[in-house]
Amino acid sequence: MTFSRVSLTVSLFIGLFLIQETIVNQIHFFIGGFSLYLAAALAWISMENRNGSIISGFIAGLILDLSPTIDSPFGQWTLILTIVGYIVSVNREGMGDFETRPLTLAFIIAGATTLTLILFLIATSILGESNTTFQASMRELLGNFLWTLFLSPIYVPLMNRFHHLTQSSRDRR
Amino acid sequence: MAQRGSSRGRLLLVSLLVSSLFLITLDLRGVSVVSGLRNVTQTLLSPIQSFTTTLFRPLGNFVSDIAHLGRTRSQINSLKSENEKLKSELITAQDAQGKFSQFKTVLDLAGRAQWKVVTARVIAHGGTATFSQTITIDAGSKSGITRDMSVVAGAGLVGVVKSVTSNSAVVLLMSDPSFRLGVRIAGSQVMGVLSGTGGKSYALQLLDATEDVNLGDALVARGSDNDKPFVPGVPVGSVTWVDNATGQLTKHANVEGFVKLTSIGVVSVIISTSTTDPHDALLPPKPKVTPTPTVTVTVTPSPSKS
Repeated sequence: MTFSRVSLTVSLFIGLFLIQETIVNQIHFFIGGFSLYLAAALAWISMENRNGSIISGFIAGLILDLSPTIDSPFGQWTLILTIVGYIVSVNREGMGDFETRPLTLAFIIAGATTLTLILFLIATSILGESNTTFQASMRELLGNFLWTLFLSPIYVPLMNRFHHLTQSSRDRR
Repeated sequence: MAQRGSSRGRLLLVSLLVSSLFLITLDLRGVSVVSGLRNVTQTLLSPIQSFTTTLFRPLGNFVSDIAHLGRTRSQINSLKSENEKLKSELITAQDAQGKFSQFKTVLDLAGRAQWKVVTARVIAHGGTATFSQTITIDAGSKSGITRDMSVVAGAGLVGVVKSVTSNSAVVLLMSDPSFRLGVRIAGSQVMGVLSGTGGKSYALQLLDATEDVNLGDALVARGSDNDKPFVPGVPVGSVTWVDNATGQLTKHANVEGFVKLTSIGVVSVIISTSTTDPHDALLPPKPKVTPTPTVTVTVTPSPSKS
C-alpha cells in the first residue's frame, strides 16, 4: 500500500467519522442502531487487497478509537478492526469479484459488522469493562445487521465508485 | 514469490496487532497523551455537532417518530386534524418552542429545589458502536461543569456527567446498562437500587424483600456524599410493574422514567445544591381524580291497600 493510498484512506475515514459523529448519531434508529462508519469502512476493507485490508482496518480502528463517546480503552477498536480486516481479506479471496454480485457484498458487510461488534463485546468482557446486558447486546447486534443490510444500496455503490476512482491502473491489475 | 508476499503480510498483521495492544496498554496505564486524544476530538467536534444539531435534529426526530408509529397510532390520528392548522408554521419555530418548553420545566425544577444549574443544549448522541448510551452537551468546564455531576431535564434525572472538555461534556444516560442509582420510594422511604436496561424502562431492586412497592409509586434519588454523583431528592420515575413472586431474596419492579431520554433537547447540570434535602417535594403532582357523583335509588315497596 503506497503512502498516497494510506493518506487517501485516512482522509476518507476521517470524513466518514465526522458524518457518523455529527449527523448519523442524531438519528434514533429503532430496534438497534446503525453505524455508517463501520459499514462504509468494512465495505472499503472488503474492496482492498490483502495488505490493504489489514492496513485499512488498522486506520479505521485508530480513528474510531478517537470517538469521545467510547468507553473502551484506546486501541481496542484498532485491535478489533485490524483482526476483522485480516479475516475479511483472507475470506474474500475465495469469493471472487463482488462487482457482479452486489448482494453478496452487502451480506458480507452486514456479517462483518456483526462479527466486529461481537469481537468488540468479547474484548470488552476480557478487559473487564463489560457494561451491557445480553438482551441489549442482542438487540443492538440484530438492529445493526438489519440496518447495515437495508441501507447497503445507498453506501455500497458510493464506496464502490469511490474505490474505483481512486485506484491506479497498477492497483487494478 | 507468493510465499514471500504471504510472510510480509503476516509480519504486517503481527506488527499492527502489537501496535494496537501497545496502545491499549498505554491507555490502561493512564498515559495522559493517549487519554487526552479523545478530549481533543471532543473539543474539535463539539462546534460542528452544535451546528449540525440545528440542521439535522428535525430529521432525527422524524425517524424517532416513525419508530413509535405502531404504539402511537391513535394519538397520531387525533393529532392529524390539529396538524392541519400547524402546517403553515416553520419547523425551526416548532423546534425552538420545544426547546423553550424543556428549558422552562427544567428551570422550574431547579428553582423549586434551590439548585444552581447550568443549562445546555444536547448536541450529539452516542453512537451504536459504543454500546453505551450517552449524549454530548454544549457546556463544559468553562461553565463550571465537572465530572460526576447530576444532569436533569424536564421532570427529573437524565444521567451523570462522564467526561468534560472546556466547551462540552459527555453525559452517561440513565438507560445505559452500567448505570446504577440508589433510590427511595416517595412516602414510604423504602430504599432500592435502580439500574439501566438499555431500553426505555429501568429495573428496580428493593434492598428488603419484605417491603411493599406498588404500581404508580414515585421514586427519588437517595443522594451521594457531597452530592456527587447524585443529588438527593431528584425525581427519577414511577413504578409500572411489580414482580410479586414469593420466595425471592429481593423484590423487583420495572420503572418508567419521568424524562423521555430519546427526545431531550435541553438539559441542566446541577452545579451546587441547597443545604437541605428537598425529600419528596420535587415530584410532579399526581393526576387528580375527579369525583363522579353517583345517585342511588332505593325502591321502597309501599303497603298494598287491599
